[in-house]
Amino acid sequence: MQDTLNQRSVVFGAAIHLGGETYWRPAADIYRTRTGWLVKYDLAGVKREDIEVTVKGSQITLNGFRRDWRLEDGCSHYSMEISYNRFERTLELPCDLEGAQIKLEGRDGILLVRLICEGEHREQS
Amino acid sequence: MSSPENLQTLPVLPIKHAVLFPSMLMPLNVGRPSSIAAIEAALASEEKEIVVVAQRDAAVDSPSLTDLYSIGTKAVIKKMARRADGLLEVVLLGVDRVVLLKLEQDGAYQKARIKPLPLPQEKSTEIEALRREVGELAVRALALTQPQAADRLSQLITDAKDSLRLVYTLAPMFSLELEKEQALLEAPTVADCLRLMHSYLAQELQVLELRSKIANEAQSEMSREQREYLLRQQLRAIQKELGGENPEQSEVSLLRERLEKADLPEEVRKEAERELGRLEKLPPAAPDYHVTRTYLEFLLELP
Repeated sequence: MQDTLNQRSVVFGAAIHLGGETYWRPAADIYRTRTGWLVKYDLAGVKREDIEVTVKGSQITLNGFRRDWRLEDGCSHYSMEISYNRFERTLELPCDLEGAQIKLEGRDGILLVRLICEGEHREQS
Repeated sequence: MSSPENLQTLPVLPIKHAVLFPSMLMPLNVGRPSSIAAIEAALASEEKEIVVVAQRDAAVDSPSLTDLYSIGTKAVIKKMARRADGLLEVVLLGVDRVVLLKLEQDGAYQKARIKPLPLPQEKSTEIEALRREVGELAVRALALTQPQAADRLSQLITDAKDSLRLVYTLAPMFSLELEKEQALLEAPTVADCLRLMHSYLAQELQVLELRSKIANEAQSEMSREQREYLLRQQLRAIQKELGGENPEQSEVSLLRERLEKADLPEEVRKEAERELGRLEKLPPAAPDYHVTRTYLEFLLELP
C-alpha cells in the first residue's frame, strides 16, 4: 500500500492556517471578578510544571506542553483526537495587566488563572 | 530525546511528491508498513513528534539516507485514525525545519538523528516589496485556478504579514514540483525564498493565462460554428414551410440540368458529376462550395 496525499485538504489546511499558530490553542473563558480577572483554560492532562503564564501590557499568554503517557502495557492508538505537544494562547484584556498578581489553580482538568489587580475592588452586582 | 546541542532522534516518515512546510497542516494516508511503524512509534511517545522528509525518487520503497533530501521538517501528529483497509489517516503539523544527520533502523522503521535548522527571519524593504509582489501574482493565479474560492483566498493572502508562512501556504496550492517545494524549504534567507516563489508563480501564471486563452478561443470557435449550424437549420425550416426549394438546391439542380445537356467527353462528364455530388453535400458557407461551383461553371462553358 502507498502513502497518499489529499491535495485539496492540504490547500484547505494551509488556507485556514495562514494566519494561525504553529501550536495548539486551549479554549478559554474570561471572567471579571471583584479583584481583577479570572481566566479559565480547558487544559486537562497538563502538568503544573509544564505550564507558564506571562503578562505583557494588556496581554496574558499561557504556554506549555501536554505530554501523553502510556496507559498500560500492550495498548496502542486506534485513533487520536487530543492535541499534544506545545500549546500557546494569548488573550487581550481591556486593561493593563503589568504588576497584577497571578495565581494558578488546577481543578478537574481546568486551569484557573486569577489576575489580581492592585487597587481594584468592584462591588458585587 | 533531546541533547544539549539540540540534537534529537525521532522516527522518520518519508513522503513522496510533496514537502511538509513548518506551520502547515498535511493530511496523509499512510500505507507502507515502515511508515505505519514510524507513525506508531511517534504515537507511543509523549510528544507525538516525527520527522517528515521528501523522497528524491518516489519509486524507491525503502529509502536510505541518500534517497531522502537532507533537509526535512519536524512535525507533530495532530490526529490519527485507522481505516478498515489498514491505512492510517493522519494529520501532521509542521513545526521546525531540521537537518538529517544520520539514519538508523529500529525494528520495522527508521529513526533519524536531526538538528534544528532555524527558519530565517530577516526583514527589509526588499522583502516587503517581494512579499507584496508574490501576493499579487498568487491572487491573479488563484482567480484562474480556483475562481469559486478566489475572493476568500485573496483576502487571506493580502492580509498575510509573515513572508515565509505566505510562501509555505501558496506552494501546496499550486501543486509545485517536488524540487521547487524542496528549494523553498531549503532557502537560506527570506528574500531567497520569496524570489524563488516569485519566479515559480510568474511561470505558473504564464501557463495558466495561456491555457485560459486557448480554452476561450476553443469556446468561441465552437460557439461560431454552432451559431451557423443553427441559422442554417432555421433557414431550411423556413424554406420548407414556404414550400420552396432552398437556393443552394436550386443552384445544384440548374447545374445538373446544364451538365446533362452539355456535350462533354466521358472522362470530363464523370469528373463533373463527381464534383456536383460533392457540391450537394457542402454548406454554402464553406469556402470549397464557391470553388467547386466556379469550377463546374467553367467546365460547362468550355467550347
